[in-house]
Amino acid sequence: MQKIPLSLAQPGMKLAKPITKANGMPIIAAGVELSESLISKLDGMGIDKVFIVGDAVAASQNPTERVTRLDHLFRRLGDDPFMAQVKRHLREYFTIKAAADAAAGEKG
Amino acid sequence: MEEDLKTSAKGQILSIRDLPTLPKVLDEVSRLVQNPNTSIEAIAKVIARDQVLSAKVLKMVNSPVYGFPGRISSIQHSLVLLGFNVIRGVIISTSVFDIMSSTMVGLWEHSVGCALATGLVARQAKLKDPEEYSVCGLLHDLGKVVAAVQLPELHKAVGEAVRTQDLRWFEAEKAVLGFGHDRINAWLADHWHLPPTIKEAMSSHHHPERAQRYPQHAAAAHVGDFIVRVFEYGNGGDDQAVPLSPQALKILGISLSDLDVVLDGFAENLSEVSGVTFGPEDAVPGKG
Amino acid sequence: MSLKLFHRQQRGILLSPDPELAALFLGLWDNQEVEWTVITQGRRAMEVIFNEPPDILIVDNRLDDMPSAEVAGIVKSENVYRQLPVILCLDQRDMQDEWNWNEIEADDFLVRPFTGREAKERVHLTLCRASRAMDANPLTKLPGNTSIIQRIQDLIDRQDDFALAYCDLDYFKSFNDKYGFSRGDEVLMMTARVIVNIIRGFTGRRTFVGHVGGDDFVFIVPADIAEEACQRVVAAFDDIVPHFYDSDDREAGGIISTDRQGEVRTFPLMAVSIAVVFNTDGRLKHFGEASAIAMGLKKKAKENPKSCYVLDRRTE
Repeated sequence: MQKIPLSLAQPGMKLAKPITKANGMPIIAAGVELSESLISKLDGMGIDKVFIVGDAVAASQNPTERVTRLDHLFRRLGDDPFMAQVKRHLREYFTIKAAADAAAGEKG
Repeated sequence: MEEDLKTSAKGQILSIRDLPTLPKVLDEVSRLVQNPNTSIEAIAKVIARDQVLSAKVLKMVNSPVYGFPGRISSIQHSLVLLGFNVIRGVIISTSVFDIMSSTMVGLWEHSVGCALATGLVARQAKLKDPEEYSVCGLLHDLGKVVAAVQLPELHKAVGEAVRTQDLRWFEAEKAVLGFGHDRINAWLADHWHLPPTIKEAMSSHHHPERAQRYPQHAAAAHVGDFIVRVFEYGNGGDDQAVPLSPQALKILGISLSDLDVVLDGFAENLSEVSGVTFGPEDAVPGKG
Repeated sequence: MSLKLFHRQQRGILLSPDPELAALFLGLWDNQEVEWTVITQGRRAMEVIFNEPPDILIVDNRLDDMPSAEVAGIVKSENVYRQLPVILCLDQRDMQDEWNWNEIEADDFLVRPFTGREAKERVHLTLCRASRAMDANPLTKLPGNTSIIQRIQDLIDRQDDFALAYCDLDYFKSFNDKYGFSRGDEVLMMTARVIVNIIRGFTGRRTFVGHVGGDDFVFIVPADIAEEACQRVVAAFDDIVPHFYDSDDREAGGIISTDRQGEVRTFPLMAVSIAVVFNTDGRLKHFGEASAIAMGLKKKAKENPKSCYVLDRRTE
């Protein structure tokens, strides 16, 4: 969990703690994913700091997630044959890892 | 004699005066280190005077990034096992943690992840003193912090360019500032008297084939940066892959298959490494 | 008088049908330094190479039964012979196209016409580079036996005043037995670091650290700082090594194990034993003398279960 200034909040981040009114009543629940409009709304409410979920590690270590993200990560490198080779190599690597994890009965 | 760094935006400069201050002990230690008769014990004593700093350093050096996880119980041991260059790098890094975390979310994690990846690359390439390579990875993005702190408007503009034009942070920097963080890094390394190996890595990790004296350090940091981004651990300012330089792999004498071993090691050690962060309990009194 | 680069005779195979090249090579070296065998056919050479591997192989692209690339390929593909350095000998016409040096794993090449001097220097460079590469300890990356012997002999020949320290670990085996090789390797890495960083601490002085193998290390320092170096290494090692044990063993001050006969054996915490041989006033003539003296001293050092060092006190 990280506490960050609202100015650094990005769409996609998830709230780790609810946003509450001064009397403690929650107005936005924990787990809600921030969007551009939600961030603007919080800004309008005078909120200056939010707690966001740091699930950095889980997503990083999930090989299925890694495979899915390759296209996005390599989106501007399509013309480079070497980078195409690198991407293929990584796709193979993470696909095998995902299969191995599945076979071991673990969650990826 | 270092000068202030002029950006391409009129009147906006990076000034030496406004650089983050490094812990006082570092100055004193750097002086001590110049004297050939100084013992490791003496250096350790000086560093240990800053208890808050020492605690942070010990937390960092006991992570799997540096070859002896869980074995280092004192600053003196850390000096004996890792050498002064590594400890100095760790000290610098921990002392900018606060600024880093408050100006670019995720940059600390990206830096620590890069340290892990770069060290693993060095080990796979069978290079000597892999921890020195780790430190290259740890410090490779310091320049981004300096720009963020001193030129917040331009920093914001860089972020905008990344978002609106789908640029990599490095490309956006060049468009807005006229140069990238690699140039700022070189400037910083000179001002802070960092060893030439680390300076080369900091200033040439985007173009390792241009590295003059220490191509292996630059190449390892380059590949380390590539790897931490593949895993999307932390945030270096954008969500794009580094265009990997085939030259870098040649310089290191490794192949794509060698990278598999590094990828394995990275995933395995990531959970432990992610614990290397400093919460309010580690904070310097007075700062939040 | 020529430079003595190698501590033993080097053997080279020249694979070439060209009598001029053969004459050149045979004339460049004293047989005692580098002994050349000339073979004119590729196929026949393979047999010789595999049965009696030389220290270096020169392959002439003018070979008529096999292209030089194929020879290099066969040699490098056999794991045992991968370390054998290969130099290709080419002609100007061979330089018209690019060579794929990733596929053809040669270590260097010479292009005719070349002088005898050039050939000699290239061969020497290739041999020295190969021995450096092979010699480094795979775990600690420190120079190994060949480099160590070379350095000692060098210093002896120059009659430099130096101290040669042999270090090894007591009770390392029992640690390995209980904690496994992986943790044993951590200890070796730690020992290497301790020695290297302590010795490096004597800035401005000529020093050397080597790893013979296993738990045997060597360091060379000027005679005047030898005792200080030993004291620092012992102190640092003793301070750090307990942290490589589990807390119960650390508190007990050692490993307590019961063997199959039900006998309880205690092994103290690992300790470092250092034996130091001095070469002052050029008293040593050969590295063999140094190691012989060191072995005797080492016995004494190991009688003490704690970390300690023994200095060779003889004055002549």
